[in-house]
Amino acid sequence: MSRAPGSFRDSAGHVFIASQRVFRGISNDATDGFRKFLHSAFFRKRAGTLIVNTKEISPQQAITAGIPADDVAAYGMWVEHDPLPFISYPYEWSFESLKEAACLTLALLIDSLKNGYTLKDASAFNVQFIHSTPIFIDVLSFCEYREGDPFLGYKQFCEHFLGPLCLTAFSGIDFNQWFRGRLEGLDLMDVSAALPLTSYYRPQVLLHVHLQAWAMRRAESTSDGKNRKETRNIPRKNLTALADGLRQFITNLTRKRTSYWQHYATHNTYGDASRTDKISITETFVRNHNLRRLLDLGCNTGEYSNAAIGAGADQIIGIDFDCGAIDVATRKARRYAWPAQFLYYDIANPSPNLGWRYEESMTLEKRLGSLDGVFCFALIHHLVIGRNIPIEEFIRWVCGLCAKGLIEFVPKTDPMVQRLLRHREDIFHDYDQEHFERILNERCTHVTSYAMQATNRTIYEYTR
Amino acid sequence: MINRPLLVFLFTLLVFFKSNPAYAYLDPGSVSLVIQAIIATLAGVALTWKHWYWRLLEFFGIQKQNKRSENHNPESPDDE
Repeated sequence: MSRAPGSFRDSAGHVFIASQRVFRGISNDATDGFRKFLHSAFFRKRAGTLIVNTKEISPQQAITAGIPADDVAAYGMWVEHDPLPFISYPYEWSFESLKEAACLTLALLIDSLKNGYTLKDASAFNVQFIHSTPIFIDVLSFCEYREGDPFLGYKQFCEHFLGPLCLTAFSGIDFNQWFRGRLEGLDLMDVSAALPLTSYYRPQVLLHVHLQAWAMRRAESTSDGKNRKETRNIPRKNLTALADGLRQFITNLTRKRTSYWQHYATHNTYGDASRTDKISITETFVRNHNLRRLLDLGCNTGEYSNAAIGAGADQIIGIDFDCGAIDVATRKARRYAWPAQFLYYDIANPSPNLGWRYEESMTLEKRLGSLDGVFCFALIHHLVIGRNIPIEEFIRWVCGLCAKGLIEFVPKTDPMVQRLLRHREDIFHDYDQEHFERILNERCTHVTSYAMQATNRTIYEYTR
Repeated sequence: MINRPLLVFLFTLLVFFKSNPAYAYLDPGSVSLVIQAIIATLAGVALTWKHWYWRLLEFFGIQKQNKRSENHNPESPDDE
Protein backbone atom coordinates (compact mmCIF):
# COMPACT_ATOMS: atom_id res chain seq x y z
CA MET A 1 0.00 0.00 0.00
CA SER A 2 1.42 3.42 -0.91
CA ARG A 3 1.47 6.81 0.80
CA ALA A 4 -1.85 8.31 1.94
CA PRO A 5 -2.83 10.69 -0.91
CA GLY A 6 -3.30 13.74 1.33
CA SER A 7 0.08 13.37 3.06
CA PHE A 8 2.59 15.30 0.97
CA ARG A 9 3.02 18.82 2.33
CA ASP A 10 5.64 18.22 5.01
CA SER A 11 8.82 16.61 3.66
CA ALA A 12 9.77 15.50 7.21
CA GLY A 13 7.53 12.44 6.86
CA HIS A 14 4.49 10.83 5.25
CA VAL A 15 1.51 8.77 6.35
CA PHE A 16 0.91 5.27 5.02
CA ILE A 17 -2.21 3.16 5.49
CA ALA A 18 -1.75 -0.60 5.37
CA SER A 19 -3.80 -3.50 6.76
CA GLN A 20 -6.23 -0.89 8.18
CA ARG A 21 -3.40 0.43 10.36
CA VAL A 22 -1.80 3.90 10.27
CA PHE A 23 1.97 4.26 9.84
CA ARG A 24 4.30 7.19 9.32
CA GLY A 25 7.68 7.15 7.66
CA ILE A 26 10.07 9.77 9.04
CA SER A 27 12.57 11.21 6.56
CA ASN A 28 16.31 10.67 7.16
CA ASP A 29 16.83 14.38 7.98
CA ALA A 30 14.10 14.46 10.61
CA THR A 31 14.79 11.07 12.25
CA ASP A 32 17.15 12.12 15.07
CA GLY A 33 15.02 15.05 16.22
CA PHE A 34 11.80 13.06 16.03
CA ARG A 35 13.19 10.08 17.93
CA LYS A 36 14.26 12.42 20.72
CA PHE A 37 10.75 13.93 20.79
CA LEU A 38 9.09 10.50 20.83
CA HIS A 39 11.05 9.52 23.94
CA SER A 40 10.64 12.88 25.70
CA ALA A 41 8.64 13.21 28.95
CA PHE A 42 6.55 15.90 27.20
CA PHE A 43 5.30 13.46 24.55
CA ARG A 44 4.98 10.42 26.81
CA LYS A 45 2.82 12.37 29.27
CA ARG A 46 0.37 13.46 26.55
CA ALA A 47 0.37 10.40 24.24
CA GLY A 48 -3.03 8.76 24.09
CA THR A 49 -4.84 11.71 25.64
CA LEU A 50 -3.92 14.99 23.92
CA ILE A 51 -1.62 13.61 21.20
CA VAL A 52 -2.31 10.43 19.26
CA ASN A 53 -0.48 7.44 20.72
CA THR A 54 2.57 6.66 18.58
CA LYS A 55 5.19 3.93 18.88
CA GLU A 56 8.35 3.24 16.92
CA ILE A 57 8.36 0.06 14.82
CA SER A 58 11.17 -1.66 12.96
CA PRO A 59 11.39 -1.43 9.15
CA GLN A 60 10.71 -5.19 9.06
CA GLN A 61 7.42 -4.69 10.95
CA ALA A 62 6.44 -2.01 8.41
CA ILE A 63 7.14 -4.42 5.54
CA THR A 64 5.18 -7.20 7.27
CA ALA A 65 2.21 -4.84 7.62
CA GLY A 66 2.14 -4.41 3.85
CA ILE A 67 4.22 -1.30 3.11
CA PRO A 68 6.42 -1.87 0.01
CA ALA A 69 10.08 -2.52 0.87
CA ASP A 70 11.23 0.31 -1.44
CA ASP A 71 9.08 2.80 0.48
CA VAL A 72 10.29 1.47 3.83
CA ALA A 73 13.94 1.87 2.78
CA ALA A 74 13.35 5.49 1.74
CA TYR A 75 12.70 6.64 5.32
CA GLY A 76 15.00 6.80 8.34
CA MET A 77 12.45 5.66 10.90
CA TRP A 78 8.93 4.18 11.09
CA VAL A 79 6.19 4.72 13.64
CA GLU A 80 2.67 3.38 14.06
CA HIS A 81 -0.25 5.52 15.28
CA ASP A 82 -3.29 4.26 17.18
CA PRO A 83 -6.20 4.14 14.72
CA LEU A 84 -9.07 6.64 15.09
CA PRO A 85 -12.72 5.57 15.10
CA PHE A 86 -13.73 8.09 12.42
CA ILE A 87 -12.12 10.87 10.36
CA SER A 88 -13.88 14.24 10.10
CA TYR A 89 -12.85 17.55 8.56
CA PRO A 90 -12.88 21.07 10.04
CA TYR A 91 -15.56 22.23 7.57
CA GLU A 92 -17.88 19.58 9.04
CA TRP A 93 -17.24 20.53 12.66
CA SER A 94 -19.51 22.55 14.88
CA PHE A 95 -18.41 25.94 16.20
CA GLU A 96 -17.80 24.26 19.56
CA SER A 97 -15.61 21.57 17.99
CA LEU A 98 -13.48 24.13 16.13
CA LYS A 99 -13.08 26.00 19.44
CA GLU A 100 -12.00 22.79 21.16
CA ALA A 101 -9.48 22.05 18.39
CA ALA A 102 -8.11 25.62 18.54
CA CYS A 103 -7.71 25.47 22.32
CA LEU A 104 -5.97 22.09 22.09
CA THR A 105 -3.52 23.48 19.51
CA LEU A 106 -2.75 26.51 21.71
CA ALA A 107 -2.47 24.44 24.89
CA LEU A 108 0.03 22.15 23.15
CA LEU A 109 1.97 25.14 21.84
CA ILE A 110 2.21 26.63 25.34
CA ASP A 111 3.17 23.29 26.90
CA SER A 112 5.69 22.49 24.18
CA LEU A 113 7.38 25.89 24.61
CA LYS A 114 7.84 25.09 28.30
CA ASN A 115 9.50 21.83 27.34
CA GLY A 116 11.86 22.99 24.63
CA TYR A 117 9.61 22.24 21.66
CA THR A 118 7.33 24.28 19.42
CA LEU A 119 4.76 23.71 16.69
CA LYS A 120 5.92 24.36 13.14
CA ASP A 121 2.36 24.57 11.80
CA ALA A 122 -1.17 25.01 13.14
CA SER A 123 -3.52 23.45 10.62
CA ALA A 124 -7.01 22.52 11.79
CA PHE A 125 -6.43 19.25 9.91
CA ASN A 126 -3.82 18.39 12.59
CA VAL A 127 -6.68 17.71 14.98
CA GLN A 128 -9.19 14.86 14.92
CA PHE A 129 -11.90 13.84 17.35
CA ILE A 130 -12.36 10.61 19.28
CA HIS A 131 -16.13 10.98 19.62
CA SER A 132 -16.31 14.57 20.87
CA THR A 133 -12.83 14.78 22.43
CA PRO A 134 -10.12 16.45 20.34
CA ILE A 135 -6.78 14.76 19.81
CA PHE A 136 -3.70 16.11 18.02
CA ILE A 137 -2.65 13.70 15.27
CA ASP A 138 0.27 15.34 13.47
CA VAL A 139 3.20 14.37 15.68
CA LEU A 140 5.63 15.77 13.10
CA SER A 141 4.34 19.28 13.82
CA PHE A 142 6.48 19.31 16.96
CA CYS A 143 10.05 20.45 16.48
CA GLU A 144 12.87 21.68 18.67
CA TYR A 145 12.50 25.25 19.95
CA ARG A 146 15.39 27.72 19.91
CA GLU A 147 15.07 30.81 22.10
CA GLY A 148 13.72 33.64 19.95
CA ASP A 149 11.98 31.44 17.36
CA PRO A 150 8.62 32.82 16.25
CA PHE A 151 5.53 30.60 16.01
CA LEU A 152 5.71 29.66 12.31
CA GLY A 153 2.10 28.45 12.29
CA TYR A 154 0.72 31.79 13.51
CA LYS A 155 -0.75 32.90 10.16
CA GLN A 156 -2.13 29.42 9.55
CA PHE A 157 -3.68 29.40 13.04
CA CYS A 158 -5.44 32.69 12.28
CA GLU A 159 -6.69 31.37 8.92
CA HIS A 160 -7.79 27.93 10.15
CA PHE A 161 -9.13 28.78 13.59
CA LEU A 162 -9.36 32.41 14.61
CA GLY A 163 -10.84 33.77 11.36
CA PRO A 164 -13.59 31.14 11.05
CA LEU A 165 -14.47 31.40 14.76
CA CYS A 166 -14.66 35.22 14.65
CA LEU A 167 -16.87 35.02 11.58
CA THR A 168 -19.43 32.88 13.41
CA ALA A 169 -19.08 34.70 16.73
CA PHE A 170 -19.24 38.30 15.47
CA SER A 171 -20.90 38.21 12.03
CA GLY A 172 -23.27 35.30 12.65
CA ILE A 173 -21.99 33.59 9.46
CA ASP A 174 -21.37 29.85 9.84
CA PHE A 175 -17.79 29.17 8.75
CA ASN A 176 -18.43 25.66 7.36
CA GLN A 177 -19.27 26.34 3.72
CA TRP A 178 -16.60 29.00 3.39
CA PHE A 179 -13.98 26.68 4.89
CA ARG A 180 -15.05 23.85 2.56
CA GLY A 181 -14.38 26.13 -0.38
CA ARG A 182 -10.93 27.07 0.89
CA LEU A 183 -9.03 24.19 2.49
CA GLU A 184 -6.03 26.40 3.28
CA GLY A 185 -8.23 28.38 5.68
CA LEU A 186 -10.09 31.68 5.44
CA ASP A 187 -8.26 34.66 3.98
CA LEU A 188 -7.90 37.17 6.82
CA MET A 189 -8.51 40.10 4.48
CA ASP A 190 -11.90 38.59 3.59
CA VAL A 191 -12.68 37.85 7.25
CA SER A 192 -11.75 41.38 8.28
CA ALA A 193 -14.07 42.81 5.61
CA ALA A 194 -16.93 40.57 6.74
CA LEU A 195 -16.66 41.38 10.46
CA PRO A 196 -18.86 44.15 11.92
CA LEU A 197 -17.47 47.45 13.22
CA THR A 198 -18.13 46.35 16.82
CA SER A 199 -15.42 43.70 16.43
CA TYR A 200 -12.78 46.49 16.30
CA TYR A 201 -13.41 47.06 20.01
CA ARG A 202 -12.20 43.56 20.86
CA PRO A 203 -8.38 43.85 21.21
CA GLN A 204 -7.72 40.24 20.09
CA VAL A 205 -9.79 40.71 16.91
CA LEU A 206 -8.36 44.17 16.28
CA LEU A 207 -4.77 42.92 16.48
CA HIS A 208 -4.87 39.38 15.14
CA VAL A 209 -7.46 39.87 12.40
CA HIS A 210 -7.91 43.53 11.45
CA LEU A 211 -4.32 44.71 11.95
CA GLN A 212 -2.92 41.62 10.24
CA ALA A 213 -5.36 42.00 7.32
CA TRP A 214 -4.54 45.71 7.03
CA ALA A 215 -0.78 44.93 6.96
CA MET A 216 -1.35 42.20 4.34
CA ARG A 217 -3.30 44.58 2.10
CA ARG A 218 -0.63 47.22 2.55
CA ALA A 219 2.20 44.76 1.80
CA GLU A 220 0.39 43.69 -1.38
CA SER A 221 0.13 47.25 -2.64
CA THR A 222 3.63 48.40 -1.61
CA SER A 223 5.71 45.26 -2.35
CA ASP A 224 9.29 46.20 -3.38
CA GLY A 225 9.92 42.82 -5.04
CA LYS A 226 12.85 41.93 -2.76
CA ASN A 227 12.99 38.45 -1.29
CA ARG A 228 13.95 38.52 2.35
CA LYS A 229 14.20 35.26 4.28
CA GLU A 230 14.25 36.57 7.77
CA THR A 231 12.09 36.82 10.81
CA ARG A 232 12.00 38.48 14.21
CA ASN A 233 13.27 37.25 17.52
CA ILE A 234 10.39 36.78 19.92
CA PRO A 235 11.14 35.97 23.57
CA ARG A 236 9.51 32.75 24.78
CA LYS A 237 7.67 34.59 27.56
CA ASN A 238 6.03 36.91 25.02
CA LEU A 239 5.10 34.10 22.67
CA THR A 240 3.53 32.17 25.54
CA ALA A 241 1.59 35.30 26.57
CA LEU A 242 0.33 35.71 22.98
CA ALA A 243 -0.85 32.08 22.83
CA ASP A 244 -2.42 32.28 26.28
CA GLY A 245 -4.29 35.48 25.37
CA LEU A 246 -5.65 33.80 22.24
CA ARG A 247 -6.68 30.72 24.21
CA GLN A 248 -8.62 32.74 26.78
CA PHE A 249 -10.29 34.78 24.04
CA ILE A 250 -11.32 31.70 22.02
CA THR A 251 -12.58 29.85 25.11
CA ASN A 252 -15.07 32.66 25.79
CA LEU A 253 -16.38 32.99 22.21
CA THR A 254 -20.05 32.21 21.61
CA ARG A 255 -22.19 32.03 18.47
CA LYS A 256 -23.81 35.32 17.56
CA ARG A 257 -26.95 33.80 16.11
CA THR A 258 -29.13 30.96 17.38
CA SER A 259 -30.93 28.86 14.78
CA TYR A 260 -34.55 27.71 14.54
CA TRP A 261 -33.61 24.02 14.77
CA GLN A 262 -31.42 24.60 17.81
CA HIS A 263 -34.62 24.76 19.89
CA TYR A 264 -36.62 22.21 17.90
CA ALA A 265 -36.32 19.49 20.53
CA THR A 266 -38.32 21.68 22.93
CA HIS A 267 -40.47 23.66 20.43
CA ASN A 268 -41.65 21.07 17.91
CA THR A 269 -44.90 20.24 16.20
CA TYR A 270 -45.25 16.65 17.37
CA GLY A 271 -45.43 16.87 21.18
CA ASP A 272 -44.06 14.92 24.12
CA ALA A 273 -46.01 11.69 23.52
CA SER A 274 -44.46 11.21 20.07
CA ARG A 275 -41.06 12.12 21.44
CA THR A 276 -41.35 9.40 24.09
CA ASP A 277 -42.48 6.94 21.41
CA LYS A 278 -39.45 7.76 19.23
CA ILE A 279 -37.07 7.31 22.15
CA SER A 280 -38.63 3.97 23.05
CA ILE A 281 -38.58 2.72 19.41
CA THR A 282 -34.91 3.74 19.08
CA GLU A 283 -33.96 1.98 22.32
CA THR A 284 -35.80 -1.22 21.32
CA PHE A 285 -34.19 -1.17 17.85
CA VAL A 286 -30.66 -0.79 19.24
CA ARG A 287 -31.17 -3.29 22.06
CA ASN A 288 -32.94 -6.01 20.03
CA HIS A 289 -30.27 -6.10 17.32
CA ASN A 290 -27.37 -5.36 19.67
CA LEU A 291 -26.25 -2.44 17.47
CA ARG A 292 -23.01 -0.68 18.35
CA ARG A 293 -22.08 1.76 15.56
CA LEU A 294 -24.88 3.93 14.23
CA LEU A 295 -25.48 6.89 11.95
CA ASP A 296 -28.08 9.46 13.02
CA LEU A 297 -29.35 11.26 9.90
CA GLY A 298 -30.80 14.66 10.78
CA CYS A 299 -29.54 14.34 14.36
CA ASN A 300 -30.72 17.81 15.48
CA THR A 301 -29.58 18.25 19.10
CA GLY A 302 -28.75 14.56 19.56
CA GLU A 303 -31.80 13.48 21.56
CA TYR A 304 -32.24 10.13 19.80
CA SER A 305 -28.48 9.55 19.61
CA ASN A 306 -28.58 9.74 23.40
CA ALA A 307 -31.39 7.16 23.48
CA ALA A 308 -29.30 4.83 21.28
CA ILE A 309 -26.28 5.28 23.56
CA GLY A 310 -28.44 4.49 26.59
CA ALA A 311 -29.50 1.26 24.85
CA GLY A 312 -25.92 0.12 24.29
CA ALA A 313 -24.56 1.88 21.18
CA ASP A 314 -20.88 2.73 21.57
CA GLN A 315 -20.35 5.01 18.59
CA ILE A 316 -22.78 7.47 17.02
CA ILE A 317 -22.06 9.74 14.09
CA GLY A 318 -24.78 12.36 13.89
CA ILE A 319 -25.19 14.65 10.87
CA ASP A 320 -27.42 17.67 10.39
CA PHE A 321 -27.57 20.68 8.08
CA ASP A 322 -28.18 23.08 10.96
CA CYS A 323 -24.99 24.40 12.56
CA GLY A 324 -26.79 25.72 15.65
CA ALA A 325 -28.32 22.30 16.37
CA ILE A 326 -25.04 20.40 16.05
CA ASP A 327 -23.44 22.97 18.32
CA VAL A 328 -25.95 22.11 21.06
CA ALA A 329 -25.47 18.39 20.38
CA THR A 330 -21.67 18.75 20.59
CA ARG A 331 -21.88 20.59 23.93
CA LYS A 332 -24.13 17.84 25.33
CA ALA A 333 -21.80 15.12 24.02
CA ARG A 334 -18.84 16.81 25.74
CA ARG A 335 -20.71 17.44 29.00
CA TYR A 336 -22.13 13.93 29.34
CA ALA A 337 -19.20 12.10 27.63
CA TRP A 338 -21.42 10.56 24.95
CA PRO A 339 -19.51 8.34 22.50
CA ALA A 340 -20.86 10.53 19.70
CA GLN A 341 -19.65 13.06 17.16
CA PHE A 342 -22.03 15.54 15.54
CA LEU A 343 -21.20 17.08 12.20
CA TYR A 344 -22.49 19.71 9.80
CA TYR A 345 -23.58 17.88 6.68
CA ASP A 346 -26.08 18.83 4.02
CA ILE A 347 -27.37 15.57 2.53
CA ALA A 348 -28.46 17.35 -0.66
CA ASN A 349 -25.02 18.95 -1.08
CA PRO A 350 -22.64 16.55 0.71
CA SER A 351 -18.92 16.83 1.51
CA PRO A 352 -17.15 15.98 -1.79
CA ASN A 353 -13.68 14.68 -2.59
CA LEU A 354 -11.48 17.76 -2.26
CA GLY A 355 -7.92 19.01 -2.53
CA TRP A 356 -5.03 18.04 -4.78
CA ARG A 357 -6.27 15.49 -7.34
CA TYR A 358 -9.52 15.25 -5.31
CA GLU A 359 -7.66 13.01 -2.88
CA GLU A 360 -6.99 15.11 0.22
CA SER A 361 -10.42 14.82 1.80
CA MET A 362 -13.01 12.20 1.04
CA THR A 363 -16.78 11.88 0.95
CA LEU A 364 -18.61 10.81 4.09
CA GLU A 365 -19.60 7.46 2.58
CA LYS A 366 -15.92 6.56 2.01
CA ARG A 367 -15.08 7.41 5.63
CA LEU A 368 -18.03 5.81 7.40
CA GLY A 369 -16.73 2.25 7.43
CA SER A 370 -19.13 -0.50 8.46
CA LEU A 371 -22.28 0.64 10.21
CA ASP A 372 -24.61 -1.50 12.31
CA GLY A 373 -27.64 0.74 11.91
CA VAL A 374 -29.08 4.02 10.68
CA PHE A 375 -31.91 6.13 12.02
CA CYS A 376 -33.52 8.87 10.08
CA PHE A 377 -36.24 10.77 11.92
CA ALA A 378 -38.19 13.77 10.62
CA LEU A 379 -35.96 14.18 7.58
CA ILE A 380 -37.71 12.80 4.50
CA HIS A 381 -40.01 15.83 3.99
CA HIS A 382 -37.08 18.28 4.17
CA LEU A 383 -35.33 16.52 1.31
CA VAL A 384 -38.25 15.33 -0.83
CA ILE A 385 -40.44 18.43 -0.47
CA GLY A 386 -37.90 21.03 0.74
CA ARG A 387 -35.16 20.14 -1.76
CA ASN A 388 -37.12 18.30 -4.50
CA ILE A 389 -35.12 15.04 -4.13
CA PRO A 390 -37.18 12.19 -5.73
CA ILE A 391 -38.65 10.00 -2.96
CA GLU A 392 -37.37 6.74 -4.57
CA GLU A 393 -33.83 8.09 -4.73
CA PHE A 394 -33.93 9.23 -1.11
CA ILE A 395 -35.14 5.84 0.19
CA ARG A 396 -32.62 4.03 -2.01
CA TRP A 397 -29.82 6.20 -0.58
CA VAL A 398 -30.85 5.67 3.06
CA CYS A 399 -31.25 1.90 2.62
CA GLY A 400 -27.88 1.74 0.82
CA LEU A 401 -26.04 3.12 3.85
CA CYS A 402 -26.69 0.13 6.10
CA ALA A 403 -28.66 -3.13 6.19
CA LYS A 404 -30.73 -2.13 9.23
CA GLY A 405 -32.47 1.10 9.98
CA LEU A 406 -35.36 3.17 11.23
CA ILE A 407 -37.01 5.73 8.97
CA GLU A 408 -39.86 8.06 9.81
CA PHE A 409 -42.53 8.97 7.27
CA VAL A 410 -44.08 12.42 7.70
CA PRO A 411 -47.39 12.72 5.78
CA LYS A 412 -48.61 15.80 3.94
CA THR A 413 -51.16 16.50 6.68
CA ASP A 414 -48.34 17.13 9.16
CA PRO A 415 -48.01 20.82 10.20
CA MET A 416 -44.31 20.84 9.23
CA VAL A 417 -45.05 19.58 5.70
CA GLN A 418 -47.91 22.08 5.46
CA ARG A 419 -45.44 24.81 6.32
CA LEU A 420 -43.05 23.63 3.57
CA LEU A 421 -45.91 23.68 1.05
CA ARG A 422 -47.44 26.97 2.25
CA HIS A 423 -46.12 29.17 -0.55
CA ARG A 424 -45.69 26.69 -3.36
CA GLU A 425 -47.60 24.40 -5.63
CA ASP A 426 -47.87 20.80 -4.45
CA ILE A 427 -46.06 18.98 -7.26
CA PHE A 428 -45.24 16.00 -5.03
CA HIS A 429 -47.98 13.64 -6.18
CA ASP A 430 -46.02 10.51 -5.32
CA TYR A 431 -45.32 11.70 -1.76
CA ASP A 432 -47.78 9.52 0.15
CA GLN A 433 -47.55 6.74 2.69
CA GLU A 434 -48.69 3.99 0.35
CA HIS A 435 -46.02 4.83 -2.23
CA PHE A 436 -43.38 5.16 0.52
CA GLU A 437 -44.27 1.69 1.87
CA ARG A 438 -44.19 0.17 -1.62
CA ILE A 439 -40.68 1.50 -2.31
CA LEU A 440 -39.41 0.41 1.10
CA ASN A 441 -40.90 -3.11 0.67
CA GLU A 442 -39.27 -3.42 -2.76
CA ARG A 443 -35.85 -2.62 -1.31
CA CYS A 444 -36.05 -4.48 2.01
CA THR A 445 -36.84 -8.01 3.09
CA HIS A 446 -38.40 -7.15 6.40
CA VAL A 447 -40.38 -4.00 7.21
CA THR A 448 -42.24 -3.28 10.46
CA SER A 449 -44.22 -0.12 11.11
CA TYR A 450 -44.83 1.70 14.41
CA ALA A 451 -47.63 4.23 14.61
CA MET A 452 -46.99 7.05 17.06
CA GLN A 453 -49.34 8.65 19.56
CA ALA A 454 -50.79 12.11 18.97
CA THR A 455 -49.40 12.40 15.44
CA ASN A 456 -49.98 10.82 12.06
CA ARG A 457 -46.30 10.15 11.51
CA THR A 458 -45.11 6.52 11.26
CA ILE A 459 -41.73 4.96 11.95
CA TYR A 460 -40.60 1.98 9.86
CA GLU A 461 -37.96 -0.50 10.88
CA TYR A 462 -36.36 -2.22 7.90
CA THR A 463 -33.82 -4.93 7.19
CA ARG A 464 -32.32 -5.03 3.73
CA MET B 1 -10.34 52.66 10.83
CA ILE B 2 -7.21 51.93 12.89
CA ASN B 3 -5.75 54.58 15.13
CA ARG B 4 -2.66 56.12 13.41
CA PRO B 5 -0.68 56.90 16.64
CA LEU B 6 -1.20 53.30 17.74
CA LEU B 7 0.26 52.00 14.48
CA VAL B 8 3.23 54.36 14.71
CA PHE B 9 3.83 53.06 18.26
CA LEU B 10 3.57 49.43 17.15
CA PHE B 11 6.00 49.86 14.27
CA THR B 12 8.46 51.71 16.49
CA LEU B 13 8.58 48.56 18.61
CA LEU B 14 10.00 46.69 15.63
CA VAL B 15 13.22 48.67 15.84
CA PHE B 16 14.09 46.63 18.92
CA PHE B 17 13.82 43.27 17.22
CA LYS B 18 16.81 41.44 15.81
CA SER B 19 16.51 39.27 12.72
CA ASN B 20 17.43 35.64 12.11
CA PRO B 21 16.72 33.24 9.21
CA ALA B 22 13.54 31.11 9.32
CA TYR B 23 13.04 27.89 7.41
CA ALA B 24 9.85 25.87 7.34
CA TYR B 25 7.82 23.78 4.90
CA LEU B 26 4.98 26.22 5.55
CA ASP B 27 5.15 29.84 4.45
CA PRO B 28 4.71 31.76 7.70
CA GLY B 29 4.03 35.00 5.79
CA SER B 30 6.46 37.90 6.32
CA VAL B 31 3.67 40.31 7.28
CA SER B 32 2.26 37.82 9.79
CA LEU B 33 5.70 37.37 11.37
CA VAL B 34 5.95 41.12 11.94
CA ILE B 35 2.42 41.29 13.33
CA GLN B 36 3.15 38.30 15.56
CA ALA B 37 6.25 40.04 16.92
CA ILE B 38 4.23 43.19 17.70
CA ILE B 39 1.38 41.34 19.40
CA ALA B 40 3.77 39.08 21.34
CA THR B 41 5.53 42.18 22.67
CA LEU B 42 2.23 43.73 23.71
CA ALA B 43 1.18 40.45 25.34
CA GLY B 44 4.52 40.26 27.16
CA VAL B 45 4.17 43.84 28.42
CA ALA B 46 0.61 43.14 29.57
CA LEU B 47 1.80 40.03 31.40
CA THR B 48 4.55 41.96 33.17
CA TRP B 49 2.08 44.69 34.20
CA LYS B 50 -0.28 42.04 35.53
CA HIS B 51 2.56 40.43 37.46
CA TRP B 52 3.56 43.70 39.11
CA TYR B 53 -0.09 44.59 39.75
CA TRP B 54 -0.54 41.37 41.75
CA ARG B 55 2.74 42.00 43.59
CA LEU B 56 1.49 45.48 44.52
CA LEU B 57 -1.85 44.13 45.75
CA GLU B 58 0.02 41.54 47.80
CA PHE B 59 2.28 44.22 49.26
CA PHE B 60 -0.71 46.16 50.52
CA GLY B 61 -2.33 42.95 51.75
CA ILE B 62 -5.29 43.34 49.35
CA GLN B 63 -4.60 40.07 47.57
CA LYS B 64 -3.37 36.83 49.11
CA GLN B 65 -0.38 34.91 47.74
CA ASN B 66 -2.45 31.85 46.75
CA LYS B 67 -4.82 34.01 44.66
CA ARG B 68 -1.88 35.23 42.59
CA SER B 69 -0.59 31.74 42.02
CA GLU B 70 -4.03 30.81 40.59
CA ASN B 71 -3.54 33.55 38.00
CA HIS B 72 0.02 32.65 37.22
CA ASN B 73 1.08 30.05 34.69
CA PRO B 74 3.82 27.77 36.04
CA GLU B 75 6.81 27.77 33.72
CA SER B 76 8.23 24.46 34.89
CA PRO B 77 8.76 21.78 32.23
CA ASP B 78 7.58 18.18 32.55
CA ASP B 79 9.84 15.90 34.58
CA GLU B 80 12.07 13.63 32.58
